[in-house]
Amino acid sequence: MRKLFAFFTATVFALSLFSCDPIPDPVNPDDPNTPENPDNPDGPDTPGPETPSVFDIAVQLQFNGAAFAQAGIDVELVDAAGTASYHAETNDNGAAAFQLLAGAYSASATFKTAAEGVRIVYNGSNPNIVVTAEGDKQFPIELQKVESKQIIIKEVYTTGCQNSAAGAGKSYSNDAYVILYNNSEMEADASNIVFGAIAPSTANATNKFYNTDGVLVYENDNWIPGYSAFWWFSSEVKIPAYSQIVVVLFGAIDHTQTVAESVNLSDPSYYWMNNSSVSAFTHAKYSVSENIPADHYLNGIQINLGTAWVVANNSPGIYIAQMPSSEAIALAENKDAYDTTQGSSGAQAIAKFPKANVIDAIDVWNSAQVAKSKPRFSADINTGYLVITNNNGYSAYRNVDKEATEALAENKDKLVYNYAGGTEDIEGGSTDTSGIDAEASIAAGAHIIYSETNDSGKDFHQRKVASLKK
Amino acid sequence: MFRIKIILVMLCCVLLPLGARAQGISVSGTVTDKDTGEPVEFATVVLESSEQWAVADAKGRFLIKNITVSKSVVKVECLGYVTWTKELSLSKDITNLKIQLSADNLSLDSAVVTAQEDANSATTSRTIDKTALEHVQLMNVSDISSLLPGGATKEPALTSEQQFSIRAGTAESGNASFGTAVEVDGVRLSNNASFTNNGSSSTGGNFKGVSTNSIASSNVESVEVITGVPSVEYGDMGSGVVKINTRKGKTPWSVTMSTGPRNKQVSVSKGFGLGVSEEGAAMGVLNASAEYTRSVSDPMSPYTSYDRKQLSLIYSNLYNQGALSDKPLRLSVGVTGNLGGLDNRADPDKLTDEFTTHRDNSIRANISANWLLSKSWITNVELNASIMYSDKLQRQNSIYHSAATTTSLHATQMGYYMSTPYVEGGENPAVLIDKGNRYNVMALDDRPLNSKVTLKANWAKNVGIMNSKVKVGVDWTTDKNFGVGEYSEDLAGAPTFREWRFCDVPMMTNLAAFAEENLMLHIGKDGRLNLIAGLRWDNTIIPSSAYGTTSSLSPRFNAKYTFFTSRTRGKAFLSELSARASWGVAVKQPSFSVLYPTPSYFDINVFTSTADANNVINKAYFVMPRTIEYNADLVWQRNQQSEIGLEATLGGAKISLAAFYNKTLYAYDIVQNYERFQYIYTPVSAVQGLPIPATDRLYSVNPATGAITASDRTGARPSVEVQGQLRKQFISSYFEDNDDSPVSRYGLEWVVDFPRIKPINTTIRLDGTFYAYRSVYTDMLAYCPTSQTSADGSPYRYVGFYYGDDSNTNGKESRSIRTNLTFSTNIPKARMIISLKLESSLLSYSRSLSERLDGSARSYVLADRTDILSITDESVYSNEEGCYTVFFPDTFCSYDDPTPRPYLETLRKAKESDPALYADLTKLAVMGTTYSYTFLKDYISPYFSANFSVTKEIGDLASISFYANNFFNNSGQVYSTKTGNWSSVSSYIPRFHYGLTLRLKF
Repeated sequence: MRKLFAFFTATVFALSLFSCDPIPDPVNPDDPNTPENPDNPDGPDTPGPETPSVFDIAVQLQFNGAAFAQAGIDVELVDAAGTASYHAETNDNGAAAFQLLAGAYSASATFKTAAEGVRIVYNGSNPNIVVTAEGDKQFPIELQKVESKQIIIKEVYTTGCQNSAAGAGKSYSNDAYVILYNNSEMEADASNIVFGAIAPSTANATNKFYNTDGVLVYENDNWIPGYSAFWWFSSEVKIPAYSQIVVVLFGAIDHTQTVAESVNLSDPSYYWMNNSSVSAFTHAKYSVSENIPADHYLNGIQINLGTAWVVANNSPGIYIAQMPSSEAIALAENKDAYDTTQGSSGAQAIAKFPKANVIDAIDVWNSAQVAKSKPRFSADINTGYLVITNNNGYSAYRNVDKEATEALAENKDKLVYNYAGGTEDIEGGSTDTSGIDAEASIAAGAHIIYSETNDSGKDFHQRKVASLKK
Repeated sequence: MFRIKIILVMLCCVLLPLGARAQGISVSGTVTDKDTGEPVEFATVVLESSEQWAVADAKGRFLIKNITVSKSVVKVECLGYVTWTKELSLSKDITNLKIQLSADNLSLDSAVVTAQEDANSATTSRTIDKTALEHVQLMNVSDISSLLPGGATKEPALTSEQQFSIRAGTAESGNASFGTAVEVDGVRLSNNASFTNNGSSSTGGNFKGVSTNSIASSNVESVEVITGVPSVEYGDMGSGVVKINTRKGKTPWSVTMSTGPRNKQVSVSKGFGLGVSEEGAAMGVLNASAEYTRSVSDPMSPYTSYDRKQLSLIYSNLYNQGALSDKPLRLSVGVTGNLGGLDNRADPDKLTDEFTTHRDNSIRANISANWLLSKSWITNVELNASIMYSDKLQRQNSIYHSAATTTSLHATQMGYYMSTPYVEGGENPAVLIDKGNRYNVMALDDRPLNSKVTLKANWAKNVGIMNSKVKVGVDWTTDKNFGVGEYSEDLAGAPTFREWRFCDVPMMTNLAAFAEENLMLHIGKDGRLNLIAGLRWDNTIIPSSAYGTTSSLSPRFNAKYTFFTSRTRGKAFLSELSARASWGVAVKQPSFSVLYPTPSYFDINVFTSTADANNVINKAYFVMPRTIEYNADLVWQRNQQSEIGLEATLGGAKISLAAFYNKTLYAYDIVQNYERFQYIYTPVSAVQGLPIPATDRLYSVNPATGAITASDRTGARPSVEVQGQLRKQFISSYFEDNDDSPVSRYGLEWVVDFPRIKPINTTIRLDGTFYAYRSVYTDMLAYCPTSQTSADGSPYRYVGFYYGDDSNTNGKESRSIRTNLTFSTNIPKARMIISLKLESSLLSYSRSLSERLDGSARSYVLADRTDILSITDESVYSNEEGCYTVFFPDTFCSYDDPTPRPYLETLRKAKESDPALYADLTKLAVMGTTYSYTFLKDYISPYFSANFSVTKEIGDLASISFYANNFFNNSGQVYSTKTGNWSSVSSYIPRFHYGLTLRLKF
């Protein structure tokens, strides 16, 4: 599109030059080195009818002082006036070749990639490219590496809902799910995602991990608690750009058949934590619809006692990590390495989960127990918390990164504003201050980039209705 | 042969004193009202030494013939009058003995509102009379425990079951309340035939004593509490007898109305004199009483309530005409019915139709005949027969919800079962229940019947300075339950339960014989030596059961020496002194819940299908009935009681001291064992994506092999047998056992009644108790953490054998000192009595124990709490700052090798060479809590509570009582040395509460 636009502009401008001024040698408009806007007062001198000098310039991408050997990276040069830009792709050595008129240019390059659920962006620029007959013909661009999460927790719904058919005041909470979201423009590989639960499972429970100074014993260590069980996918899982997958924690069935306030979790695209992979997980709340294929089952390994994965419905504290399942199994099986700060019994000792593998976490507190609750993650994993109220169908839903989302050119006219799905109107409630209605925008074709500040209080809000509730 | 010896011993007891001859003395006279001079009809005149008696006629006349003793205390009692006693010398006929009875009311100086020691008893026995009972305004007769030495007041409540527990604390081993005998008018209240008196059916726990909630409190005339060694006529008990006597005799109409924040009561009673027959014979007295009591658990929401609606009729008469003129027969026939129980249906705060009701209906009837023969070889023959039937049906309506279909199990035979839709009238071993919401009422039908017949004879004689009273008797008790156990009112939607018909359990019969010699030797002018020796033989027969017949012997001895009394010492500083000692054995029969643990089942979900479009999920279970080993070696729990006591009057202060040591042996206990077994498990993934569409699938399971087959209900596709996996694991079984570890309780009780301060007409009583308890559980028990998985992910495969259970602690010791100071001011002219009672806990100590019988270590102190092998030689008790501990099984075995192996040694080796085994074995180690103070001494700082009561009579027409307990509303804090925390005293003393009672007589 941009090339078409440049070609059109160049053609119109060239025609205008033909009509009033002597023309330099025509430059092939298909040549990428063709100036797109040669009407440049600061450009190279145009000695009348003489053919201007065109120089071969190379721009070399570097990272940490060494050549960044990656082919196909688009390098852009913009002339000093900002009116003309030139593009070339790097060769195998990370160098891009240009043919330029003498003048001053600014060069920049961006390379985006992803590995193990982490989005990596190499960015670099060189504003000091001056092309002269005698001057340098090779210019570097030093790249900076920026990592960001590719797979994030978009929504956690564990709080349950009302079950008015059973009687006033009755609630229902077997319908828990987590949505993983690819927060990038590249396909994400979730095959090695491991789910973990923090301890204590309830945020307001006595937290024995706090030492006498009020600091978590693992605050400055390299692990966080791995409680109850770890789960992982049993097959290769790819998440397309700006897309999501739903992982059902307990009942992967259509709950709405009996609980109108609940959700239908029997969609074939959903994934399910298969309790039969953990012999002790015999709780009746586990079930799975025939719709969900066996390769969408997650396998688990138990760490502590219990008949189900212990995630408090009123204050879930869960995390996702990039880790091969074999490593998760080894962690769970190595009881010798367990931490016994909580106690040494089967219900209390926890596995030490390496922080380096954690890619996202959420800490949710029960609105009725905020005064008694304490953060469960170390600050380098997550700070802050989201307050949520039980049994009303509320979910913890990720806020939209307004600036980043609006910056995506493809979102033009697709973003839906005036978000009204929050719960700011109820006591202890919250909403997404970006004002962007993410679900409505996605439905309109927009790509949403969600906020990721490592602060559950800033990254999430209490959504009035779980997003899967239709 | 053994039985013959016993019978010979009994005969000897009976025959030894023979040889004395009847003297033929008679005593006659009249009993009149001291104030009005009116005859007191139905007054009972008893010669205590000879146990002969008479009942005053309409003119107050009485006559006792053929008196066999030369000296006796005469005791005259009548409802509404103060008991009159006098010692008489019976060397010749006494005629025209004029006895004047004082009406029992607050115009008397002698009115007391505390428990009175029985000065004539050779063991510790106390009586709480009507004045005291009315003053404390009983709602539940167990509330009188607060009147015993060091007794603590409880907030009166009926919404939870209350029991008597004599000389025992709470949360202790040894089933103390189960061993406390409670009788109402001679009818033993028993829960031997009950299946619901155990604390926790699956884990044992304390077996509870009989509930006192259904005993009408307004009609109680007196309560006698025998805390020492009782007569051998009392069997089926451990420690303590509580004898509740209701009103019997001619009385005016009496209406009582009580109110308090949680309790309301109204009652009416009257003793009707039925006049005289045409032949001039008295027609007797009919006592009728009715009571309605309602108690709520929360005065802020007074809807969860316990109701008691009771009607009681007691007919009593004396037959002394015609052939019975020399051998009067006293007859009493009573029947009491109670309707009531707990009910929360009326609670408007409930948002659903769920409810819980517990019936507490009962009917008890008794007949008592006392025939005064006054023969040279027999004095009295007494026949008591009683029967009590209770209906304790519990109903609970609960709402059940499931988003998908669920499965309820009712199978009782071992095998694999696939859930199938309910079939009316079918066997329905595994019922597939529709999704959605449903209510279901589950009921537990417990209907015990107890009956008892006692025949006993007394023979009293004087031989020189010796007065001999022989008592022999037999009693026969039966226990049977007619309840059908647990059932659902709608089986189609019932949750998992198994039929367990209580009525199919055979009757338990106990045949007992007892003999007792009660010798009184008069020594010197005032000295007396009272020796009581008795032997009871119980023979419990349970036909058609593993228990068969069990015999037990209960010897009991009491001795009391009275050095002198105030009769000879007058007002000397030490005017009365007596000392006593007792030792005895009491045997407690088991209840049905002891003998027949509820059958339980190990239900393993071996297959769960995927949900079809209608959320139908088929489940298969492997059902394994847990073995119940009827322990043929079970012996009856017994209690060895020892006691020494001292009574003295010192400077006008009456002092009573009693030191006791009770040891409970062979306490009933439910323990578990483990069995190996294996089953086929089929994961859900095995059926996901089968060629047969989910909605067309029919699942079945091979009942023997557990193989799952999916077939096509349309027949279009062939059936598919799904591959399963073999799983091995242990399962637990339960059986009844005796606890081999003795439970020791000892203590000292004191009561000091200071002389009345006459200017203010106030008496001061200081009573209290030092109580100590120690129990260390030493049985070797098995435990397998079946909910754990082995290192390879399979079900856990090891069983540990633990000394004294698999708990970090295996015992407890405690000591306490409680003392009460009671000020009672009696204002006879105003007919008012005011009392102030200060209750205090001066010492409250307890400590958890972990040790072996020889005192050696059972738990280890850890040097590094993260390393279970960093054990040290330090004692868990030695560190005053606390410590982290670990407790290991002595031995363990595995699924594949049932030979026990030493645990610690294997664990150490495994750490070096076998990480998987080490990981598995660590799960058998029992770590201490996260708190380091588990074994620290726990002293709770002293705390106090004050009660105020006042009773005022308005002439003879009315009286009004008011009480305010914890009236200072003490809401302070107490300190625990164990935790180092302060906590509210409200956990230790009752809340501030009050009540008002109005009584009308006309």
